Amino acid sequence: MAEHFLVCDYNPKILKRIRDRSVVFFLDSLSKLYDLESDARDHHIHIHCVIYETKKSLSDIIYKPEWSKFPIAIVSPSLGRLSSFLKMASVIKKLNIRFYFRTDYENCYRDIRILSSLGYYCAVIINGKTVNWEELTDLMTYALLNVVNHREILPFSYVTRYYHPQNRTDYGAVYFDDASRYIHLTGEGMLALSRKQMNSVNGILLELDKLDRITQEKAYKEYLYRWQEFFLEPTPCACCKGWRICLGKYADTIKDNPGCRDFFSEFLEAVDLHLKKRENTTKEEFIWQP
Amino acid sequence: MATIIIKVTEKCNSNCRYCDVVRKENTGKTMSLDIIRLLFQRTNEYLLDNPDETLDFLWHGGEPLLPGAAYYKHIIDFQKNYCPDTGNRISHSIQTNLTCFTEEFVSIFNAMGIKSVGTSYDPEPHMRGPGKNIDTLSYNKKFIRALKILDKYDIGWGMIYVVTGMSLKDPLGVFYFLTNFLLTGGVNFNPVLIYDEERKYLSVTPVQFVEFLGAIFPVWWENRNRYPDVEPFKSLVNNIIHGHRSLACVDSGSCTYHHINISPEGDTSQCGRSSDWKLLDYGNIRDSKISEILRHPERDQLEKRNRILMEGECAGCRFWEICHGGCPLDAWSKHRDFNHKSEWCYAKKGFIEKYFEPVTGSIFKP
Repeated sequence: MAEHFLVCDYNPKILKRIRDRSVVFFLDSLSKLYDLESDARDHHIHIHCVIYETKKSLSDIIYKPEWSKFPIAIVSPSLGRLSSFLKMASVIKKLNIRFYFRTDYENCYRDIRILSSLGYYCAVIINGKTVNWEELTDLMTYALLNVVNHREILPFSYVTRYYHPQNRTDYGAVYFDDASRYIHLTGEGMLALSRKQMNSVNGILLELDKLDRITQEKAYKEYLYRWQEFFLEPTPCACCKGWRICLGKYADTIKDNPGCRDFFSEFLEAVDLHLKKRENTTKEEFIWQP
Repeated sequence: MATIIIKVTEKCNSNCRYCDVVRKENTGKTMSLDIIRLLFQRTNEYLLDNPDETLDFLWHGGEPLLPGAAYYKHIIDFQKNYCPDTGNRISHSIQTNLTCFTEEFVSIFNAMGIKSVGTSYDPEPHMRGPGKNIDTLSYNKKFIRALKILDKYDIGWGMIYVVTGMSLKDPLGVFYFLTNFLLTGGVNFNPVLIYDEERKYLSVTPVQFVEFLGAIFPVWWENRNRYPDVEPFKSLVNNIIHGHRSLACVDSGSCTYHHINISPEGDTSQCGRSSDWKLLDYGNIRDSKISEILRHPERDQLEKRNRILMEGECAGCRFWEICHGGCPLDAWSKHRDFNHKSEWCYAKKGFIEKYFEPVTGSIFKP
């Protein structure tokens, strides 16, 4: 098995303990990128990605050419003023950057479509409580089947990349939420299988120095097989056509916000269609990939 | 190759609603090791006399893992000791509910050459499980625990899904459940066989079974690369479209001299049902050699049935080649006579004509 990526807040105190690791850092300010760069160099840490979540619109961020050294994910509520954003296009185009939008903001579908068609890499963070499944279906169709040139949109293109018709495809890695690849680290040096678990009392598994043993942990093994729990009873998720790419991620919200069944059924069909269309062509990847 | 169905035990730890074994009189017997020893001695003798033959042992029950790992270790020893030069012509398969499966069985399965197990699973609550109340949840938890072990040791599995009256309201839901659980499909849809009035609500008619399959088939056909191993669809495609004849025992018309069922007491018969119904008695393994059992004169009536049907009820039927009048035991259950076509005739013919041929655009030509 390949070595796990660690995911943690940028905290200089912990860096010496994660020497030689590949790490995803959460930053509360992009101005800390320079400190992170020198710290990472000192401790032989490979920066897999830097995540910056902000309440600012993308057009309100001042982008710097020096950031081009970093794989960056910016999570923002909106694009903001397109004209302001485009004024910085010459800088942004040279960055290794992907823009994440949460479905908590109703304009996210539109903003992603605009940015993607302008050639920017985007991702949508699907919150089962807030997502508008019809809008998401439109976005997915645009992402996978539209013939107009646009950049890839995650998780849709991620699924097409890893999809096999006879396997499950977990796109949790798009959000660094896939314990087979990403292990989360607290500021106190404790490991958890997800960011959500990191904040729960029973979520902590091991101390950091036992990371290499994590695959032997019972909780880790159970986590990898957690999908089987859906089959103890005929749950709506287990009986859904789209389950093999959804894996029950929205089981808790299906009652209050139904529509996931139709969305993932369409998604599955679109993936098959997209792959048929894409046969014999290979797409170049330009920026970091989760 | 002949198949020997070994009913290791009539005991079962599950009380599946549609199962006859647990409702049988005199249930609860387990095959003694003496009989198994004798079976291997007889097998060796048969294989030495028939150097081109092979035998497949299908370990069946009841629940065949109930006698425990130690029991199967004896079986491995018997094969080693009594079939030193013929053991390589014995293959093993097993039909188990997996709820007793533990890591201890892994080395046993390896030694027996079992790389995949047959099992069954039902999404419907209170259809399968232990106790009077049919505790599905506890059953399913044990089943899933076993799957983790199978996965860890790279042992495959496939399942039979028994279509009952409970399955009819949402055939696609059942299909998605099973193919999400076992992603390549690996599912065989069989109609429930109910012979008592008390459980009539579980039964399905051939027409209902056809409609159940017909609700699923167009989806399967459209996406068969997603779910390749779904039966009876895959076999029909192979037989009708690709012309590869490979028929299950009920359709082959050639089970006559190739099947032996052995009860826990060593009594032999054609199959599980003929044994339960005290039909086709081929004697006890204590008294008869395997070659005698396979050539028992009682079997000839099954062979004659082929000719009677071909010239009678099935004369002119274009599906004869892939059906042969179906299972003689199905015919017996309705007519108390083997020499009729199966009461499930429509399940095959009707499905092919109403769904298979229109959806695939392939017409079966004999």
